[in-house]
Parts: sequence; structure tokens; C-alpha cells
Amino acid sequence: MASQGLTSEQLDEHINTDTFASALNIASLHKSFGNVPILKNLNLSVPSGHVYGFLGRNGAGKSTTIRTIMGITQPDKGKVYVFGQDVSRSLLCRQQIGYVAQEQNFYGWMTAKRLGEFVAGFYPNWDAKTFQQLLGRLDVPFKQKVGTFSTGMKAKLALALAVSHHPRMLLLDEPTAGMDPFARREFIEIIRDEKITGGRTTIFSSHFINEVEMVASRVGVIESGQMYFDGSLAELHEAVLCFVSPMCSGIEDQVALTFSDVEILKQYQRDNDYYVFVRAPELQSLDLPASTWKPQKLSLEDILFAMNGKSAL
Amino acid sequence: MRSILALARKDMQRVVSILVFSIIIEIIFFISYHLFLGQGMSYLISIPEFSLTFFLLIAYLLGNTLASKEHYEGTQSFVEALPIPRRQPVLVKYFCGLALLLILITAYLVLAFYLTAQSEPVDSDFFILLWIRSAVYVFSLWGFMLLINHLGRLRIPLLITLILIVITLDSSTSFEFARFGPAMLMDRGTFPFEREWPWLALQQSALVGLSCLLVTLVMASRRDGGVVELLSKPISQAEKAFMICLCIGAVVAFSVLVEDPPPEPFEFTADEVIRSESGQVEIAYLDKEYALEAQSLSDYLDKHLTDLSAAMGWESSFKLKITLDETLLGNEHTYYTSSESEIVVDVNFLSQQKTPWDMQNFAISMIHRVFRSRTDGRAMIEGRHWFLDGFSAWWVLRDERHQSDIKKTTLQASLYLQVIDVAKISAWDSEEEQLGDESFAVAYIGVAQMASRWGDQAVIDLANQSINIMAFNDVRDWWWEKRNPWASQFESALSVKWEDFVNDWRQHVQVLALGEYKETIASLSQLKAKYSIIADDGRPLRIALNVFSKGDTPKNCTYYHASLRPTEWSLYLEDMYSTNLSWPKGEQALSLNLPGIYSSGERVYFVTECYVSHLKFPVRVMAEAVVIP
Repeated sequence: MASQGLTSEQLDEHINTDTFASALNIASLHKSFGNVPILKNLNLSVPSGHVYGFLGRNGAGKSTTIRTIMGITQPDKGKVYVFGQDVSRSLLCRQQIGYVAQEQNFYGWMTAKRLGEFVAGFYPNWDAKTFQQLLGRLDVPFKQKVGTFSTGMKAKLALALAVSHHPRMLLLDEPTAGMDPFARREFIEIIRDEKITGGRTTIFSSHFINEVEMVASRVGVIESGQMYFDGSLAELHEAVLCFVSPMCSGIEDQVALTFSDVEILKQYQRDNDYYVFVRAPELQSLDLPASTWKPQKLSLEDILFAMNGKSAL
Repeated sequence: MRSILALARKDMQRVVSILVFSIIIEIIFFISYHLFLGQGMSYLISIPEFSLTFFLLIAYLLGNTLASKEHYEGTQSFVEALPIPRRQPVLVKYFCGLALLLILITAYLVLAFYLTAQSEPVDSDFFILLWIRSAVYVFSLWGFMLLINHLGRLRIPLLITLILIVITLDSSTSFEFARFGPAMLMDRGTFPFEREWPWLALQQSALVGLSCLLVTLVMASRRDGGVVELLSKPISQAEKAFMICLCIGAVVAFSVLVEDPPPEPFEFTADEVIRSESGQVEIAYLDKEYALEAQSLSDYLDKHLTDLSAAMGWESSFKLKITLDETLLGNEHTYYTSSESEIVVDVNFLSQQKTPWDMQNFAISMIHRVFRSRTDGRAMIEGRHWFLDGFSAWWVLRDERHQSDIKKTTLQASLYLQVIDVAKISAWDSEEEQLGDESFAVAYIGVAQMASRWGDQAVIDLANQSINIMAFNDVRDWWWEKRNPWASQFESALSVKWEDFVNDWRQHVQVLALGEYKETIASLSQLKAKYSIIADDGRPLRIALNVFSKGDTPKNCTYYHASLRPTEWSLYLEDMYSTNLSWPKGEQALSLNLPGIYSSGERVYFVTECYVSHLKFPVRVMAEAVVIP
């Protein structure tokens, strides 16, 4: 609790002098619920100022990771550093994070205004003016009871609450879950707004790949409690290639012969074509008969599908 | 500090409706209690009444709103995401609830104390004592309620289980809930009057409150609050079934495992005590000149009890301890204690007055009492109750010395031929109310008839199976009764249908009633009694009794009376007040206003028995339970 008792100015100074280059550093994180391991030696580093898309299937460990960053869940092993501070030992560190949970469990009897007053009690940097402005911009009724709000409205209110104390990091834990497509799209547009996420390290978790593609500059993929991929969107796009050939007899032997020197991630037949996904960095060693095997343009979803070798995300 | 204030403001705002409700309840309770129930009583007496009723409800609702609802509605997860220590919200809730309850109880106390001070000498020291008692009570109560409300879906079943366990412990062990911690602090009998500090109760209550708070804090932080969150989910059907089984199991287990501590044996302090040869009978006879009578009684009882112990296979020693009490009538005895291992009874074995000492009647009562005590009342369960009465009488009267008593008994039985009926014998308790001691005579004839047909050993064997039974005081007793109804026990022991035997029994008594005792029976049917309730200043207060005789008048009558509690329908004569009335010479009726003043709505049981000169036993003329209008 070394940093407890510091003023917000001292906190800023303290954080500015940290030796960590990244906004978030997670080292060897382990967490189990009962006998079920959720996080298994998870390592992650998020550079400052980026919008980081955190992808993974349901149950992959995204929410547990985010709750551990928030200090809500205590890890069994490993450390989480936010701006160089160990979150398990510093409550002030949590004041630097804005958090939007998957489900918005607000007090239904409070109005948005009263909720803002309540949350203000926990953040020295709370900016009531910003909060009011944001609610206005997001069309959230100021004096209406929160219990009457729709899911999308509650998510917008949560976002306003999360950014009104000017956090340096924003954690969005599947904020669009449960929303209809229109509300989801509207929310994504808000996230893309410079005034919300601009200059702020934002970690945006979702299992909707297109949402992440729209807002993130870097992407992390978590699978079974471990990081599967961590890099820029461009790197992810170059990571996997797909080739298609018309179906013919002995195609499996042909694939084995043609792609013998590279790692085949996935192969399958669909209609009259045969698809082969290979890891891209090893592509130079391939001598492909151009007339037979044609390269195929892949979406982020296709790439992730091929990478994890299982079902689609 | 800002975060604590924010949480406190939120919690207070959330319970504002409960606060308003509590204040209204408090005011209504205070006014209505002192206006209708406790009129004329100290104002302080209503504090324990309020604390143990509506205040419990208020504390529960407060805990439910602050803790249970927070988890159930999921708002706890919103609070958890705020940058505060995990235990801070729980502690804020704890102190908010504690403060509210303290304000409520203090306001009540101040009002009651102020009004009391107008008419009673009370000082500030007494106020401090009462406030500390109330505050520590609130401390323990609120700690408990907050803990219970952190148990989510298990809270109601656990509360029920806990209440059942406390009731079981209270009723079957030496633990007295009313003398423990919070209950003792709010004891109605001591709270308004006691000026001594109840240190033990204060310590126990403080310990309860502190332990509950610690458990709550541990639960709130265990597995990142996951335990409380998991419990807050709605209860499933399977869990409901499991909890019901758990409740029943807890009660059964407690009633089976927890046994009463054996009572301390009674010891005579006087020197004039005779002990029988077997050691089963002890008699304190007060004066050396009564030693012979005491010795005679001791020998007589010892023989019957020793034989009975051998016949029933009782290995554990059983003691009958008798004290001479010359103030009692010859047919009276007063039980001091009665347990599985000993009976302590006061009796006047020197009585020579209107109701002389009757040794064999006393012996019958003691045999009856031994079975009743050893089986903890199970031998008296309807169905076999008649057999216990009959067996007790038969065991004493089968002695050849009692031929004259047998004659008296058969005469008694022949008066009540109508009782010998399967349905009436099955409902022996109500028949016994009407018959009084004559019920023993009717039952005796039945058992004697049994012995004459199948022999003494068959009767003893049947007694062993049906009334020499162990009392578990739990569900096993109920199960045993279900599996061993009297009729099937009788039929399997004697290979005769129960109904057929009852017919034989009735025919046997009928022969006596129509022959040898015809005239006596005819004369007794002339004896009638009537009661009326008389008003005093417009309010019914007394009972007037009229006994009429168209034939021979009785020597005297005895009137027994006592108030009935809500669950009682009748009483034994030994548990009632009695008044002896001599029949006025030359008159055909006895009328008088009986002692005893009653209030409207009270239930009174009264019995009239008369002694007819040529009979050696009292005849029950009337037995009735009356509600005073």
C-alpha cells in the first residue's frame, strides 16, 4: 500500500516516474475457480495510448483478466501492473482506471444525476461538468430513474461514469453484450470518438471480431486462459494465408506434397473447392503451382478461425 | 472518508422507507400496548415486548435491504468495481444499520423512561443500565441479522433450522434460551425492575454480535466475495428439497442425540427415615411414634415394586421417596418430583378423618406413576391408557389380602357399564375425566377378566409389550406407535380379537350390574348435580353448585376446581384445589356458592364427587370444563 495516502498530483508524479514503458503489464497470471483453471500463465503488455482489442471466445478468460486488472478478482499467482503500480497493493491505482462492466448493475432507484454524485465520492478527479456534458451528448436522461433505462442506455451511462474522472486507462469488458445490432453499432461509434478514447489506453474486450476491427490498433487473442496472439492488426492480417484449389481425386496427397515444408493450420473441403490455411512467415519456401492453388483474401474472423484450429470465435 | 460518506448516504437513502415504517410501528406499538394490554404496568415493560417482536422484524428488513437485496440485484458488483477496500461497503452497512437500530431503541427507551419517571423513582444510573442492556442487545441482534442476510437463498431455511434447533435444545436439554445473552437482556421479568448489571448476558451478547460481524466480514471477502454472490442466486427446487430435509434432519438428530441430563437425586435430610429391604422405598415419617406405620407402608410398597421390577425386567434401580405430610387428606398426595429414576411424593398415611388413608389406592397410584415416569408418559397414550389403569389396579389387588377391595372395585365398575365399549376405551382420556377414580375400577375388571381367561403371565407379557416401553422423545416414538397399535398388540399376544374381548368384558360387568349390585346402582342414579354462573355487580364471577338426591343422601361432597390453560381440557384431582362440603342433615339438596373468583373468558374445570355412606369410595357426580361468559 505504498502509494496510498498520496494526493492525485503526487499520484501523477509517482506514475510518471515509473520504469515501465507499458500502460499495462501482466506477468505469469494464474487464476482458478475451484478446480477449474481460468487463467494459465497469462502474459500481456499493452503500450500506452493504444486501443487494445481483447478477443477470445466465451469462457476464454477475458472477463477474469479484466476483473483482475481492476483488482476485483485476486490472482492465485502472478502480478498486474497498471502504469507501473501493482494493482493488488494500490487502491489509488484503481482510481486511474475507468471501467465498463459486461452487465450494468446500477441502483435502479437512482437517477443518472444521483448515480454521478454517488460515484463522484470515490474519485478525487471527478468532473461533474464533463459527466453532465457526456450524458447530454449520449442522450442519457439526467433525471430519470436508471431502473427504466434500456441496456444500451445503461451502457452509455456506464461509459459516461467511467470517463468522467479522467482515467488514464479505460477497461471495457464486453460492453456491447446483450445489445441489439443498432445499439451495438451506436456504442462502437462512441468508442471511436476521439473525446472518449483519444490518448487514453483503452482495453476493449469482445467476442465480436468486427467490433474490435473497427476500434482497435492492437489485438490480443486469448484462448483457454493463455495469450494466443498479441500484435498489431496488420500483423494479424499477415499471419495466415489461405489457398484454394478445385476439388479433384487425390487432393489430400497433393496437399501433403505441396505444403510439406510449412505448417498447415487447417484444411477442409467446401462445395467443389479445397481450402488450406498455412502460417504466413513460412510462405517463401513454397513452390506453388499457380494455376492450381489460388490465394484467398481472409477476414480477421477467418484468420482467428484458422489460428485457433477450432470453431469460429 | 469521501467514499465512506458516499456509501453511507447511499445506504441511508435506500432504507429511508424502512425507517419511516419503523417509526410508525414503534409509535403504534407503544400507544396500543399501554392503552390496551399493559394498562397500569410500567412503561418500561413494553421495551422487551417490542424488542422481541416488531424490532426483530425491523432488523431483519434492514438487513434484507442493505445486504441481501444488494447481492440479489447485482448492485454489489457495481460497488466492488469502485476503488475502495472490499470490506468497506460491508462495514458501512453494518454501522448504518447499527446506528438506525440504536436510534430507534433509544428513542423508545427515552420515551418510556420519561413517562416512568413521572410515577416511579428512577434515576440516571438506571437509565444507563437500561440503555447499555438495549444497546448490547441491538449489537448482537444486528450482527446476527446482517450475517443471516449475507447467506442469500439459505437465509430463510437456516433461520428456520436455527429456530428449531434452539427450541429443541431449550426443551430437551438444560439450555434455557430465555436465560441466554440477548434473550436474557430483554427478559420481561427483569428488564423494568432489575438494578444489577447482567454481566454474563452482556458478555454473551457482545460475543454473539462480534462473532457474527467477523463471520460476515470473512464471508464478504472470501473468494473475492464469490461465496456471498453464489448464495444470492435464487434457490432451486433441488435446494429447497435439500433444505427441508436438512431442517427435519437437524431436529431429528438433535432430539435423538441430545439427552436430558439426569436430575440430581433427592436426599432426605431428616433422621426419621425408613429404607425398605430392597432399597426401593424410603419414607420420612417426621416423628418416632409413626415409625410403625411407616414401616408397614414401606414393606407393602416394597413387595409390590420389587415384584414389578422382576416381572418387567427392570435392572436400573428405581426409588420411591415418601414424606409424611399431616396436612393432607387420606386420599391426597402431592408429587415433589417424578422422573425415570425416582418419585418423590408427600402423603398423609396417618389420616383417620373424613377421607381415611387408603394404602392400596396409594399403591395403585404409585404403580401407575412408575410406568408413567419410566415411559415419560408414553404408557398413557390413548389406546393403551385404559390398560395402564387396569394393570396398576390389578397388580395391587391380585394380592389375596384384597378380596374386600375387589368387591368394592367390581361394584364401582358395574356403575359404569356404558363405558365398556371399543370406541370409548380408545378415547379413555375423556372417559376418565367423567369417571374419576372409578375409571380404575372399570379398567381393573377388564384386566382381571383377561387374567382369569389367559392367566397372570399373559397379562404380564402384554404389559411388557405395551406399557413397559422406552421413551425416546423423538420421531422414533411416533414410528413405534404407528407400528404397534393397541388392538394388534392385544390380538397378537392373546390370539383373540380385541372387539370380542370387550364384548366379554361388558357381559361380565352386566351380570354384576343386573344382579348383585342392582339396588345400589338404582340408588346412585338418584344423585344429580347442576351448576350455574352467578353475576356479581353485573359481572359473572362465581359458580353456584346444586347437588340433588332423590334417595339416600351422601355423607359429604368434595368440590375440585382449577383454571385451564389454553392447551388443557381436564386436570387430575391432585392438580386441583379442593373444598369439602358436608351434606346438611335432613335436606335433599346441597347448594352453595363455591369459592373461586373468575374473570370473563377464563376456562375452568370443576369436578364434584360425593361419599355415599354404604359405599367405600367417592362417586363422581359431575366433571365439566366451563368457559366463564
